[in-house]
Amino acid sequence: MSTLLNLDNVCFSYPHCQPILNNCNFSIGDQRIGLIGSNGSGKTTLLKILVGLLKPQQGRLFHQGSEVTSERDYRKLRKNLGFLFQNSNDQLFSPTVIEDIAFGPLNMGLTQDQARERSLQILKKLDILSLQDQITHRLSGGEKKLVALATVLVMNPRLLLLDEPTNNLDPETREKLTAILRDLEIARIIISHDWDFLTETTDELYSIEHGHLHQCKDGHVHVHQHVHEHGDKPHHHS
Amino acid sequence: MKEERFSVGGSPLHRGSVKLKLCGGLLFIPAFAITPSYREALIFLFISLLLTAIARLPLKHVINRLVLANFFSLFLFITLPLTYGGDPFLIWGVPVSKAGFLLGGLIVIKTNGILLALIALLGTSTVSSLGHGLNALGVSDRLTALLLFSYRYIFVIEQEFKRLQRAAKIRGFSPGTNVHTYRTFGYLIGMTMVKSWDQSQRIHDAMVLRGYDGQFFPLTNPSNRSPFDLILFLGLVLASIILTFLGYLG
Ligand SMILES: Nc1ncnc2c1ncn2[C@@H]1O[C@H](COP(=O)(O)OP(=O)(O)OP(=O)(O)O)[C@@H](O)[C@H]1O
Ligand SMILES: [Mg+2]
Repeated sequence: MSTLLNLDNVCFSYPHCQPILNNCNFSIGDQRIGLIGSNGSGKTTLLKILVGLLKPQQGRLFHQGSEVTSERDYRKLRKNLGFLFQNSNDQLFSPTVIEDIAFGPLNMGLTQDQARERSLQILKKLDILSLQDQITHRLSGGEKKLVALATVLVMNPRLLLLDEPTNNLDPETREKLTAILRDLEIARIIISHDWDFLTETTDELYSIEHGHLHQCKDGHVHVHQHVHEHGDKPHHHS
Repeated sequence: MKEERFSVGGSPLHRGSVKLKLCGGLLFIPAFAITPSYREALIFLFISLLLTAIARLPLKHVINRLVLANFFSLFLFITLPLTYGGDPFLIWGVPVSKAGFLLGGLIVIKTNGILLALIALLGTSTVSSLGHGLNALGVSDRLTALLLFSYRYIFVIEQEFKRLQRAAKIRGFSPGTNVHTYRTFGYLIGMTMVKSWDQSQRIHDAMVLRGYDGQFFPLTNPSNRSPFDLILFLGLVLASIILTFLGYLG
């Protein structure tokens, strides 16, 4: 397994706040990782550091073995990553769906025809071809989420970073998203509080606590539907 | 907030080329606005009505729009005859300026005619395609992007404001004329602005992550120009030129 991203002793804190990451070490190649942690523990911050929206104050970030320092390194790194925001309104900024999806491919230098072709392919793959000419701000929350996923997938990323993708989705859309992610063969880090969803779409579980990342041992923890003292918390059975 | 109510429909104007509609409108509307005489203004108005008929717009909504605009021109129509100079005549013992009366009438015709033409020509396209049309006509990428972004986020900002307003209302806030009200509205507006600023940062982030580095390449629609578009365009151009000449010479 080759490592795609590597955090080496990274520290990060927002101005005038407690440190969010404290000598954090982490690496990912082609795993499918679920990331949990309480509200405000720094999950979103971690993803932002991985894509270079925030820069570590200490420690280093490696991309395919070489340290990421210049803006050019970051640009190369971002080509390999697909970041799905918590709020789709931040991600869909073009007037129509097809324009929004074609935005990335056009930036990568594809021609108009190629970009349109590729965007349509991805819409078809996600089974939302009928949305192509819709006005983005009129879509429902679930439709927005799927379109946002399409804008990310159309860039052919090697690693997906998804920030609470099932928030505010109805069961049907959630099922659809689960099925899509289950069948995709792309490495991923998924932040979620939705245990069933994580079980289906990831293989390993990490939790973030007091500025450190821990891998939860023994593969995937699980929750039970039945009433149980720890039914709503991750736990292991002996 | 008004959505793009007139932009859906199957008329030739809806399907037509945005570029040609824009060009035709850019000539027709100023020509209509500057015409000095009644005869030509009425012909212009007739053409506007014809365009509205071709666009098969929902009559009720069109009239709603016109009523709104006519509040203003009605005001002019009433005040102009009373304040304009020239030789007066008497209505119910009140001296009324004939020139003012005529001018007021001309303004009413032009307001309605131009509004109709605007709705029929530009209202039948979505803002997004108008943006691209303007871009294709040489408006800079930056201005086009500004137009499209403003349009995209004005609704989000409005929603944000309404959400805050609702939150205030739920907690028992009812506006009055007192300091508490002014302060609360100050907070609401300030909060909306802060949130919009934050959001613009996040949108910029999202764009950077997808390879944006300052240059904007919009996806353009393959243009499909029909004979109708050309006829419409030539008709508007010819009518504008001929009527302007007649208005000033005849
Ligand atoms: N721009 C910012 N400036 C200052 N502090 C911030 C900023 N963004 C986040 N924080 C703080 O950093 C901490 C971690 O935030 P982060 O968004 O990473 O948490 P999270 O784990 O994603 O939480 P959630 O589950 O609620 O999404 C929080 O306490 C938050 O208040
Ligand atoms: Mg978060």
